[in-house]
Amino acid sequence: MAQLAVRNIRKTFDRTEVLRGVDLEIAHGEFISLVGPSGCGKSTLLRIIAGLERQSEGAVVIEARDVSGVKASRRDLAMVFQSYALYPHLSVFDNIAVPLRMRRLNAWQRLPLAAWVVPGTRRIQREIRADVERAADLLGLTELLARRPGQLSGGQRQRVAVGRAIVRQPKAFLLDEPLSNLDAKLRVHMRAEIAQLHRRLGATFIYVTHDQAEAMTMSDRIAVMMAGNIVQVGTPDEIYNRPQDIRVAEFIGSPKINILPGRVDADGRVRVLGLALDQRLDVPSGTPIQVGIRPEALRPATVADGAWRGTVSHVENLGSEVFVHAAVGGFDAPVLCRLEPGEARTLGVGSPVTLVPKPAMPSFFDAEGRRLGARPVAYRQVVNG
Amino acid sequence: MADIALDRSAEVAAPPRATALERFQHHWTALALSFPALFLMVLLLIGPVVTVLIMSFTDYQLGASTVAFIGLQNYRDLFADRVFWTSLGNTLKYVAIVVPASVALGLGIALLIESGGGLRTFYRAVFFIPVMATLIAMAISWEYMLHPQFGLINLLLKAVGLAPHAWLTDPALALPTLAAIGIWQLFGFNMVLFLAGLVSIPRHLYDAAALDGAQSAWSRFWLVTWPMLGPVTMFVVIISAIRSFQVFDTVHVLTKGGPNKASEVLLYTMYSEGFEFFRSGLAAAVAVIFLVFVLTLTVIKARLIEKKVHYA
Repeated sequence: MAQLAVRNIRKTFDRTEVLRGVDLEIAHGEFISLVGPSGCGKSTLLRIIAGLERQSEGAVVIEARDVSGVKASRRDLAMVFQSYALYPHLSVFDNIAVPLRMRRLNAWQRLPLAAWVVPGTRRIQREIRADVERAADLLGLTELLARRPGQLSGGQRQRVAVGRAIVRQPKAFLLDEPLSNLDAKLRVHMRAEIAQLHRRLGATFIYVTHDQAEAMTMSDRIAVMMAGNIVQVGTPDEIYNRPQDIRVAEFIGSPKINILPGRVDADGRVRVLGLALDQRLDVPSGTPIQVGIRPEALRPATVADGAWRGTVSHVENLGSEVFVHAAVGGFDAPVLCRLEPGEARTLGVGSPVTLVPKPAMPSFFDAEGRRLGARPVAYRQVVNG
Repeated sequence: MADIALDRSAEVAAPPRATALERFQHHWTALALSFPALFLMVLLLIGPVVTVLIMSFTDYQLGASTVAFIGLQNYRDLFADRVFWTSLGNTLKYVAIVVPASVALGLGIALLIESGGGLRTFYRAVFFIPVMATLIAMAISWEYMLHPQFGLINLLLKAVGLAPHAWLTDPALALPTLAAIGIWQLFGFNMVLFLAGLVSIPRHLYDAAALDGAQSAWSRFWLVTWPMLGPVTMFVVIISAIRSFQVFDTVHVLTKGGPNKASEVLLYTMYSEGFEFFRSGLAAAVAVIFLVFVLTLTVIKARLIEKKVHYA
């Protein structure tokens, strides 16, 4: 059963519809990413789940209870903000202790000197200290507990923000682009740390990001959002290999997927830039379609027959892999191909190249960008059947 | 060979050395450019302060033809004078009433305006009017409002069945009444400073506080608002203290330090010594003591604001 669900959430800011009826079910202990380009409404959705923003329509359900009217402070969720939102006047220890103090101590016990006056305060303070130290230890912050946020590096601040979230056991963790203020190297490192943290805590994580690599590497499931809607929800594998919408195909994957114009033959086979593929579509012949082929699903052909012929327009050598941009006859945009360094050794700018798709299934989309179901050609013919 | 090449590259990398002449010209230009400001500062600020300091060691009387240095005699006279101590005590009392009240009121109203929806500009303008008004003119208006027989305030008190008071002639009430006018005049200014401070508190800190379980406005205030307003509050307190130390207009118009020195304050003592009794040397000594207080506050402000209350 879903631990957290949003049902038909709509949000309108000054007559601009930011969310257009979003439905999502999140299972207990799941790591789900909300990913999409900026302005797609993913952060707004997270803030609505957190209770920081009120939805115009729809419901947020946590553990079978509609929390739509419940204040953020009573939803028992923890959040890591993009800006970290640490209290600049408090030490790292106090920053992490705030959520515990707010929940375990009453207003009287929070007053200065309360430990001497209000009975029971000291015991609770000792427990809080122990919990904060445990969280700090988990994140390697023990040495920094006395510092102020202003004295920390970006990565350390990020850890403190995570520490403040994990110090208690909330129902779910909400993370709003927590890595976007870090440099590239640290981001990759923190990606692994957050994924590990999720495994260790076994708690529900809802992670908002515009970086498809973060979503792909950390999530159990990804919800891709476009223009206020969730376009597709699925495992990273499904999202990558079976995108349900051309926008998903284009957004996920780096470098970007090749989208080539195609047409369906009289016998149902797909023909792209003059080359017949091994797939059939059940659509009327002559229907224009769009074919998405990942750069790694292309390889140089040994025979020029039955392959796309083009010239290399640009080569990006990353050491472990090489991206070759090729100008293919009959198509304006360069076709991008990811090769092993060995395969690309002979290719330089201007040299002729022949490309064929690997047997892996390409994605087919109709003119509106919706996925079309394809099936392989019954008996394998390699070229022009 | 390699050494020579290295030397050359070092020469190219180093900025060209300034010759003595160039350095002189550089300094001279800097001096020439700062001269107008320096001249005005000496003439209008530093000069008068030094003059007052020197005068406080003399027996100078306004219009007198001879002047003699008498060392610390003026200060000795002052410290032996009961009126001076009353005056200093009253000034401190006035500051002790006006500063907390005007700061608290300014903060309270700023919070109300900031949390409220419409009419923000209206409220801001209304509460700022006393700050813009000429205090002397306002003091005269207050004089009529506080008049024992036909003053508006006593009429109102009588209308609701309360006893009227002789606000400005009752020794127990004169100073608090002046302080109330001081608060009325000052809190609008503090409010504007607090409003600016409130606007600059990042919204995401309140979001974090909500997620951290700060349920009430009270706990959000102590967790976020109050600490984040630290620098502004410090500034407001010091500025309010300096401005309250300077209280003079209302005293001069309304009580003239009376009744029976109950509202005698430092600047009024200075004024009456200097311009009523023409004991300029003694008045200068009062001015120096006043200056010491204001300078102390300024130093505290500079130290604390720069070091303690800034976080980032």
